[in-house]
Order: sequence, then C-alpha cells, then structure tokens
Amino acid sequence: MKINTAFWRDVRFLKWAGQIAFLFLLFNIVSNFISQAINNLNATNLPFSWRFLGTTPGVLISEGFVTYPESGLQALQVGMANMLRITLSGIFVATILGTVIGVARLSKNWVVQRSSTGLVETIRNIPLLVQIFFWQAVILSFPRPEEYDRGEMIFDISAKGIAFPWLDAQETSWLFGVWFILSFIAARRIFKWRVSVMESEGREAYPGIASFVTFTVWNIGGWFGGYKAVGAIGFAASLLSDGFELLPRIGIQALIIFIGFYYSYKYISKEIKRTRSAENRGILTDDDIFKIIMAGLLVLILAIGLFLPFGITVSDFLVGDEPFFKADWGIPQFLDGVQNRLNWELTGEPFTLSYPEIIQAGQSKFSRYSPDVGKVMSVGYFATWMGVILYTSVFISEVVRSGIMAVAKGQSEAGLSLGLKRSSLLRLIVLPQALRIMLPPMGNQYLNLAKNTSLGIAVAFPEIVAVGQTIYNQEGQTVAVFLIWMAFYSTVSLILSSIINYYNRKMKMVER
Amino acid sequence: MSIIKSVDVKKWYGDFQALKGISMDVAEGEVLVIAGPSGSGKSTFIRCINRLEQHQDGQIFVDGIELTNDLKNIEAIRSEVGMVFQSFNLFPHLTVLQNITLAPIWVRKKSKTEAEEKAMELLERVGIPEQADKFPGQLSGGQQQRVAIARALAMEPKIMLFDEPTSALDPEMIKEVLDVMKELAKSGMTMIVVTHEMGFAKEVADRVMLFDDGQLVEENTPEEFFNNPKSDRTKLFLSQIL
Amino acid sequence: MQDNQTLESPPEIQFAGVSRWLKENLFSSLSSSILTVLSVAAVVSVFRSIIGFFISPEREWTAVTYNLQLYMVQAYPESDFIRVWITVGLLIFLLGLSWGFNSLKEKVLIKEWCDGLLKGISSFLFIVLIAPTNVDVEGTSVQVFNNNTRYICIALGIGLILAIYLLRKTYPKTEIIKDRISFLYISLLVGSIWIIKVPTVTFTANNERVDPDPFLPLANTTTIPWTIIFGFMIFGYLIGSFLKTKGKNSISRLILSSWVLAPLVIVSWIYRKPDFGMSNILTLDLPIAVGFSVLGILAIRTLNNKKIVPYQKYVTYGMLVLTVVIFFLPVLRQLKILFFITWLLVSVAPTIANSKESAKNLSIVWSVSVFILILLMRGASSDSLIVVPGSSIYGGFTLTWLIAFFGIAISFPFGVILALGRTSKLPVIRIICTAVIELVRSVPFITWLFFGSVMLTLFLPKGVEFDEVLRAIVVTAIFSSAYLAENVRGGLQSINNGQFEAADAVGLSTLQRITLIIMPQALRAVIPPIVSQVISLFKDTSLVAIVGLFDLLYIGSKVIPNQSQGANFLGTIQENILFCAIFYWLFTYSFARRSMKIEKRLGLGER
Repeated sequence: MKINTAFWRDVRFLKWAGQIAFLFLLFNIVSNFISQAINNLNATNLPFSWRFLGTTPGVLISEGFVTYPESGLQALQVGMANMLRITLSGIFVATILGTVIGVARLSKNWVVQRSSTGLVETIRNIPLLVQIFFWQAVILSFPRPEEYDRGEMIFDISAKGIAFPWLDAQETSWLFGVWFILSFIAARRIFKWRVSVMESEGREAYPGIASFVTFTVWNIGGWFGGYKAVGAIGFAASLLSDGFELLPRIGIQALIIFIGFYYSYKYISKEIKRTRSAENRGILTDDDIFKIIMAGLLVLILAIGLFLPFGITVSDFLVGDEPFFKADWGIPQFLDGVQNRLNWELTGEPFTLSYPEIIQAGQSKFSRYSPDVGKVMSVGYFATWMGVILYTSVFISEVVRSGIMAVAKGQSEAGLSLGLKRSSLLRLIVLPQALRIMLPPMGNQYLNLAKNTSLGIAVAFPEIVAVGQTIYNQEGQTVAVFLIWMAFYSTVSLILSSIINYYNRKMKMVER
Repeated sequence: MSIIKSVDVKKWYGDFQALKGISMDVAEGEVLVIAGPSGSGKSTFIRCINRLEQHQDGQIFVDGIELTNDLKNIEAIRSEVGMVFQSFNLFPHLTVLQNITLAPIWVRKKSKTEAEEKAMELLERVGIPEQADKFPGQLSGGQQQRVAIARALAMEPKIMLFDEPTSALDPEMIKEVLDVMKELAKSGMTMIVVTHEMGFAKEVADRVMLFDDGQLVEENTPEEFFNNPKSDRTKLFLSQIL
Repeated sequence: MQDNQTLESPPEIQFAGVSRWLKENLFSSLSSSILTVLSVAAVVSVFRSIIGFFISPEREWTAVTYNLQLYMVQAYPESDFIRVWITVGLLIFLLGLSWGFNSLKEKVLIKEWCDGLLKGISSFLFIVLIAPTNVDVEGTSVQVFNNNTRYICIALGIGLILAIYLLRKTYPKTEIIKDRISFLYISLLVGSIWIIKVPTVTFTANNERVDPDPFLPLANTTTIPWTIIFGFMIFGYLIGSFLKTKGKNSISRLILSSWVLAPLVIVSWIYRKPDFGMSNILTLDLPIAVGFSVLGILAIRTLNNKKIVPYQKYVTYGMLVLTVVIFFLPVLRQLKILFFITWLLVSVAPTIANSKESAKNLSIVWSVSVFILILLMRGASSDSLIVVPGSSIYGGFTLTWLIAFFGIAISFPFGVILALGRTSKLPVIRIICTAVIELVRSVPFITWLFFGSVMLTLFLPKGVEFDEVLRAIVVTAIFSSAYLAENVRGGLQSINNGQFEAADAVGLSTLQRITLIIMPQALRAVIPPIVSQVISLFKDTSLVAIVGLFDLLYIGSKVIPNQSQGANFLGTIQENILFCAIFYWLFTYSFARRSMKIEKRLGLGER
C-alpha cells in the first residue's frame, strides 16, 4: 500500500523546493549585480576585458626577474614570483625561528623562558603593518651607500638595502639544478638500502653517513661536468616537441574533454553502483543525487568552456589573436625551453660567486648598489620579510609550545625512566610525536604568512597585490585584476594545504 | 486498540540491513520490553517509532497516524512520544528546571509559571525536587537520567520510549532509575523499553520481545519468555545473560 | 587570524631559599649556566639600546605629544569636542556601572598584592640600573642620564621596597578588595596628569618655535575632563554596587541593552549634529513614539490573556501582512520601521512576557527603545552640521575603533548563518556557504579593502554611493564573518549528536533547536577563538591605512612625518611608528589579558 502525502507537506519535497528557490533567488541577485557591473563598466568606456594581459603596460617594477615587463601578464608574473620568493624563504626561516622560540618558552631556565615569553607577547600584540613600517624605518635610518668604486665588498647595509655575495646562475645552472634535485633522491635511496641491510643482517650499516657521502660525491661530481647527464631530459623534450608539432591543435581540447567525460562517467557510475548494491535498492540520498548532478555539470561546463569560443569573438578570452580552439596552451614553448636549458652541449661552471659593488647611478652624484653583481635585499623586501617572519614565528612558537606540551607529560616520564637525557628526550621522543599535532595549525600559519606578504604593498615591495594595483591604475581593469588575485591566492593556498595534508596523512599512516 | 502498529518495517544502513521486516503492535497502557544482543536492531526500531531514523520500507502507525515524510505527521508524533536516551542527552547549558520547561513553553506554548509548576511536580515524582536549579553537569548519572524522564513526561506524551536507559549507569544508580520506571508503568503509561535488565522485564512487562539480527525472534508473556521460551535463540540468549 | 592568546602566570618567587631558586632555575647545569649568562647579557644589551634609543636627544617625541589630538580624533572641530568628552564620559560611566554591578568583590591578600608590586619595582630598578649614561649622536657621545638621577631613582626604589616589605610584614593575613587596588592605580594615573610636565611645542610672538621645547604641565582641556570622567566612573561603580545589593536582576538587562544601543548613540552624536526642529518633534515624533509605546504595551498585556492565547498565531500573521503592506505604501520611513519591530514584538511577546514581572520589564524596554529609535531616526534623517575642512570626519583612533567595532558587530549574524549553512544537511546551501567562506578566506584582507574602495560601487546602481568608511566597514564585516563562520563551525562540530536527537525528541522545530539548544552551546565553546579573532581584527584595521583612510597608523606613518607647517616634524617616522606600536600593544595586550580572566570565570560556572 502506498500512501500519498500531499506534496506541499512532504518533507523531501519541501527540502528541495526550498533549496531550488534559494538557488534561484541567489542566482537572480548575483546576476543582477553582475549586469549592473557590466552596465556601469560600459558606461565608463572601460568594458571588462583581458586584453591588458597582452599589451605592454609601460610600468617600471622596482625588483623582480624583469623590471620593464613586456606584457601585463608578465608584470603580474613578476609580482607572483616576488610573492613566492618572500613566502618560501619566509616559511623556511619562520619555522626555524618559531621552533627555537617555542622550545625556549618551555625552557627550565628562568631568564630564557621569561625573555622569550616577553618577545612573543610583544610581537603578537602589535599589528603586522606597524611592524613592517618599523623595519622600513630601521633600514632607512642607515646612511645612503657612499664611496662608490670602492671595489668588491663582502657585506654592506645602507638606506638602499642590504648587499651580500651571491651565486650567479650561468648557462649550465638549470642542468645542475636538476642534477642537485636528483641527488636528494639518490641519497634517500642509499639511505633506505643501508637501513634494509641493517635490518636484514643485524649489523651497523651507517645509513646516515652513506647517504651523506652519496649526496656530497654526487654533487661534487655534478659540479665538474656530471650535470651533462641531465641533458637526456632536454633531448627527450626535443623529441616530444617534434611529435607535438604533428598533432592537430584541436586534439588537445578533445583529449581533455574526453578525459573529463571519462572520469565523470566513472564517478557517476561508481556512485550509482554503490547505492545499487544488493541491499541499497537504488535509493539515492539527496547528497548522492547532488554529487552526480554536480559531476555531470562540471564536465559540461568544461566542455562548453573549451569549445565556446568557436563562433564568438575569441580575442576577449585570450592573449593574442589566435582562435582559442587552435591555441597550443604554451606546450611547445615550454618544451623548447626545456630543450634549450637542459642541453648537454653547454659547458662551464653552473654558478659563480659574485660580490656586491657600489656604483654611480647614471650621471648623478648619487651612488647605489650595482644590480649586476652580488645580491641586494631591497628596503621593501627587507621590511616585509622581517615583519612577516617575526610575526609568523611568534605564532609558530605558540603552535610548537602547545604541541610539545600536549605530548610532553606522560611521554617525558616514560623517556626519563628509560634513562634518556633531557635533550635527547626532546629530540627522539617528544618532537616526532608533537610534530603530528603541530602540523595542521602549522599549515594554517604558513597560509597566513602567504597572505600576509600582501602587506608588502605598504612599503612598495612589488608583490602580486602591488603590481595588480599598478596595473589597474594604468588600465582600469579592476575586476579582471581582482579575479587574478583571487585565482592566484586560491591556488597558492590550495597547493600549500595539499602539501600539508599529504604530510599529515603520511604521518598518520606511520602511526598505524 | 493498538496504539503502535508496525507492518513489515525494513531499514538499511548502506549495505547493512538493520531491520528485516518487523511486524508488531502495542496496545494502549501496555509495557513492552525489547531484549536482544547488541546490534540486533532494537534501538534502531524504537528510534524509527520516534522518526529519529527513517524506515525505508513497510509502515508504522502511531496513534492511528502513519509515519511518512508528511511534515504535519512528524510534528504531531514527536509531541506524543517521549523518549529517554542511553546517554541522557540533557541540555548542559540549561538548569534542570529549564531543561524540563523548555519544550512545554516553546512547543506546547504554555506559560512559564504553569510549565514550572508542572516541572516541579514531575521532579517530585522522580524524587529530586531539590536539584531544580542545578546544571546537569553537577548531577550524578542516575539523577540525570531521572531528569531526562521528567523532561520527556513534561510534554504529557501518550507513549514513552526508553532506549537502554540504564546501560550507561553505575550499578547502584540503576535501581533509582528503574524504580521511577516501575512507578510510571503502574500509572498506566504505554511504554516500550529496550533494556538488558531482565529483572525489570519479569516484574513489570506485559510482553517481552527478543530481537536478533534485525528480526523479531520471539514475542511472549514474561512468564513464558523466561520459563518456557519457544525458540532456541531465546534459550541461548537467556543462558548468556542470566 | 589564528591567535591563540594564552598567557601563563609567572613563576612564584620565594624570598626564602633564593639561592635554591637560583640553582634550580638558572644554574641547574653547566649548559644552563652558560645559557643564563648569555641571555642575561643579550637582554641587558637589548634593553640598554632600547632605553638609549628612547632617551636619546635625537628623538623628537614632541612629534607625538604635540599631535595626540590628531591621533585620537584627526580633524574633528574643536568647537564640538564637548560631544566627544560627553560620549567618553557616558561610556566610562556605563563601564563603571557594569563593573560595579558585575564585580564579585574578589579579595586579595595584602601579601600577594605586595609581591606583585615588588616585582614591578624591581623591574623599574633593573631598567634604572642598566640605563646607558651616554649615547652616540652622530659619532659624538652625549650624556643623557646622569648618575645623580640614577642614585635618586635607586634610593627611591629601595625606599619603596622597604616600605612595601614592612607593609607585607605588618599585615600578613589582611585582605583587600581587588577593585579598590584598581581604583588606587587609576587615581594615581589621574593624579599624575595634574603633576607631570611634558615637552611642549610653543611658539614665540613672531611665530618661531621656541628651542629647546619647554617642559609644561598638561593643558586644562586635558586634565579637567579626565578628572571629571574619573569621577563619573567612581559614581557609576557605586551605583552599580548599590543596585547589586538591592538584587535588581532586571538592571542587568538594562545595562546590556545600553551597551548595545551605545554605539548607535555615539555614532549619531559624534558624527552627526542634526538640526532638531522643535515643530517636527512635537507634531510628528512625539505622537508616533507615544502611540507605538502604548500599542506595544497593550499588545504585551492582551496577548497573554487566556482568551486571546489561541488566536496569538493569527495576530502575528495579521501583523506580518500589515507590515508588508505598510512597507510598500508611501508613508514615513519611521512608520515602516516601527511596524516591522512591532511585528517582532508581537511574535516574541507571548513567550518572553509570560509572567507579570517579565511583562512589565518588556514594556519598559519596549517604550525606551521606541523613544531612542525615533530619536536616532530623526538624527539620521537630518543633515549634519559638523563640518570638517578638507578630509573626512572619521579619522584617528576613533576610526580604528569604529571599523573594528562595527565590523565585528555586523559580521556576527552573518558568520553564524554561514556556519549553520556550512554544516547544513541541505547540499545546495552547504556548497554555497562553503564556497563563500573559502573564497573570502583565500584572499588577503588588503585585497578585500581594495575591492571595497575601488570595486564595490561598480556593483551598485548609478547614484547609489556610500561613504569610504562605510565601504571599509562593509568589507571588514564580510571578511570577518567568513573567519567567524569557521570558528563557529568548530563549536557546532563539537556538539554531541545526542543534543540534536534530544531536541528532536522533545518536539522542537528546526529553528528552535538551533536557537535554543545548539547555538548557545556552540558559541560558548568557541569564546576563546572568537576573542582572539576580535583581537586580530582590531590589529587588522590598521590595513585601512593602505587604502588611504586616516586611521591611527596612517596618521603616524604618513601624516605627521610629513608635517612641516607649524611645527616641523619632517622625518619623525621612528617616533611615530613606535608610538603606534605601543598604543596598539597596550590595547590588544590588556584586552587579551582581561578576556582570559573572564573566560576563566565563565568556565567555572559551567560544570
């Protein structure tokens, strides 16, 4: 017997009706806002477009891999690179500093404990921007660089920044770089092999020493020409590039869409199969239906998105005037780049050491650091970097402290009863366990650090937000720049958090 | 006249079938004890009666109303069926008195004074009027469970469901809760009790049921159930538990 | 945004067994001894250079002291300062009132208090001892701190220590109320503003700056208001304590609603100076206010009448329909809003006011709020007479405060709704809320401020424009609500599933379940993270300096260091930045400390 409930009182119906009504309302509001924005933009004679990405912006960026960017895209890329530079080095230093402060706060030594606590309480209660301004004021209080032509220096600090020696990249440094990365893999392999020897034969096999020796020998060998072996990758790239030329352009889109369809088909059928299993009787819950619809929709959007520009004006969507479906996605250029950089015919030392120098700036009597030799940490970079590092390391120290404290109690007693010293107790027992607790909040701090680098704009450090602002002041494309910001930061957050999640999962697996 | 009636009720959790067709009925004023090993579906079944879980096949009628996705029916049934949980589930941020008066005020739209008078009356009945202004966290397990019973009774339900009300309690507290339940049974309340307390079943129950593996294995009067069980499964169960 | 503000109590110093304490805490092993020596050396040298920096003759601290007014209220016209003082006075009075009313009158042993004082004095002595005598100014050594002063300070310190030690010995068991100690400190502070002399920028008759800056006492325009305000605070405290002894519980509701209404009053009072035409008030506002308060009281009285109770629902529906109809009719805006809140009243009155006393309370609250609302609306709808030359009226610390407060206040309901949406069982709602939260969180705050300052107007119809400050508040609220939602979500997830089931089982509706059972528990669980979020939002308001609003930091980093008219403060960036740092630090640190204590107290009542 089937009972018919009046549909306006049926919970299931009400639930979906409500949601669809909500979606409809939201869609209406959002589309209203968007059409309003389009109207407003058209009225200002600056309709939304991506065209500025291809044209030369005519701006000077004070530091980065290019100072006069050829295109808006390149300018933004410089900003992104600067942001990543400060983020990565910041994460590295802040982690070390934060760990040191965190451990110091747990020290039994009263002076050390109190002074580190004082440091933490001071720094975390002052806004980061104030601190960045402070560090800027500090470095600007140094005199300007004087006495040019005084030759090579080791280290110099002045109102123009901090100068120090640097390894300059040469033609072969790409080859060596790949070789260097490979050396870690090799050292790890050796380490694992020695450990397995140790386990199976029950004798000391010196895994640490062996892997270190491998690492050293590998890199010394690489420095004096061993890197040429990496040229094989360049050769492979050249072959691939040749093969790619033969492919019809439209093939890539088709391939992507095919892959998309295939995976969504797999996903949907898996979902349905799961609920269709003997006992589930094909009952799909709201969530199942929703997931299936979403999977289908996503692929459809992808497909439409890739083929959409067939008839419509393409240039709004793409840099250059090449039709979208013929676009090569930059793959040949990338392959060519690989081929040129990883070429085994190149010779010479991969890096050379150069020292900073003070030169005369143009015809004026002012002097400045030479941009070609050594490395100069600019005022903006220094202020942002110092501010961000100290601020983040204080929060990291809190993470470290609470992580250690969460483990320390019972475990320390166990360790001490085994006769371990306090220092080795921390290193061997407490830290490895605390690391697991610390990882997720640590990841949060890294994300905060990445976002906080955007304050560099206040001290004229050209990271992505500052460059974006320059560009939209020039071109008026605020919406486009904002979308790029959003995409960039989301990608960085996504990458950072997936790395953290990966390690988190890995550690959890070790636990089992 | 049966107040609860179920016809061939089935329920799945993913691949696992928790209820494999339960048909039974309960008369008004009857006390029914459901026994069975853990995972046998007895808790799931009484939660279906209160619509905390949704059965996927078959029918359940409570006081003549069928449980469907009909909004109106669900509301009606919830206020007629009181439920007491294994883990009390008192609201920790409210005092004992507020716990009891909350639903009468907000659902039954009673005035505060009226609800409080009724609540004090119920607290007298379960024997802890002096705890009215304390927070649940300050009470012992037995006291909390008695408050939970008072909270359910404050809605003046026709039926009370007990989902293993004593299994989270220390042995010395079990008795105080069971005493309240016995008193309730004597007052003529319709009760369905899922429990392992066989003494309670012997003393108060009108009928005892045994669930196993999502099926109703045996349904009998207490005397017959304990002294002369029909199925071998019941014999095995009794030998393990007694 | 994830500040975990935890502070620990300092280790207990025992006078007996000093050598043992030293051995255990400083010289327990060789490495520890080396560490002690090194870190003491580091601390001393850092402090020496900081003190040297502060008292060096190169520093021009007058850049800060001369501009304090600019820092606080920016260009607010001096003729209207009385409004600011009255507001501050009212707030402090309210503070005193709630302090007195909520004070637990905790007591502390004089002994313990003395120990705290001793610690403070020994830190002072430490600083005096290590303060440098000479500092380098452009290569030459200049004396900044002569030894006579040092000896006087040390003698003073030692004298104080002896006095306190005596006090400690004579009253070993006597207790003293903590509040009195706080009042002692505050009165010392207020007394000191009458005594101290500060370097002041002064000009001669032909407008030349007097060099060096003379030390003058503080102006009467500073000392007198603060003293009166201090009096207000004590007055409020006494009234609060008195009301508490009377046991008037309804007062607590009144205090709470004053706190809620205070910001609205302040905004309308400080930032607007409306022209109140008496004729309008008499013919329009007064009748409306009286009419609606009578209407409300009647509704409260009748709705709980036994005969009316069954028809409550229809009254509510009828009122809703009426509100909607009125909304679309061309009547005064005041009426539309009042009908709306009357509908709210009608729908909550039956449950809130179900006893005689609570009906009376609700009636009072209703009438008062109707009158205040009418007053506010009159103020908001007439033109302001406050004119600020050049820049915005909002500036300085008042702007910082305004953005932080309203940002948080507005974000609260949205944050809670987003959190509920993200934990909802309805997939569409969940996905949308998750997307909104994650999108807002993925981008740094500064980009949102740019969004507010350049893009927000794009999405609005032509002609609809709102103030720069309001836009900053809107984006702050958007940003903060996403973070708040994540915090609240943490609280929601910490709630046991049994609570949901129990709420269902007693027959509560979904809305009742959320508002009565789930939210109170979830919010209580996440007070600490929300407090640290408030703190970090307060710090983040400094970012509005980047988009060019005249907040505290902008004045410190851009305005004053570029001042050359009047007094020349060109390039005084270090002094001003340090002042900003200290100012922010004082606020955040004391707020963090206070909230820690309150959290501890709240935690006690729980279980």
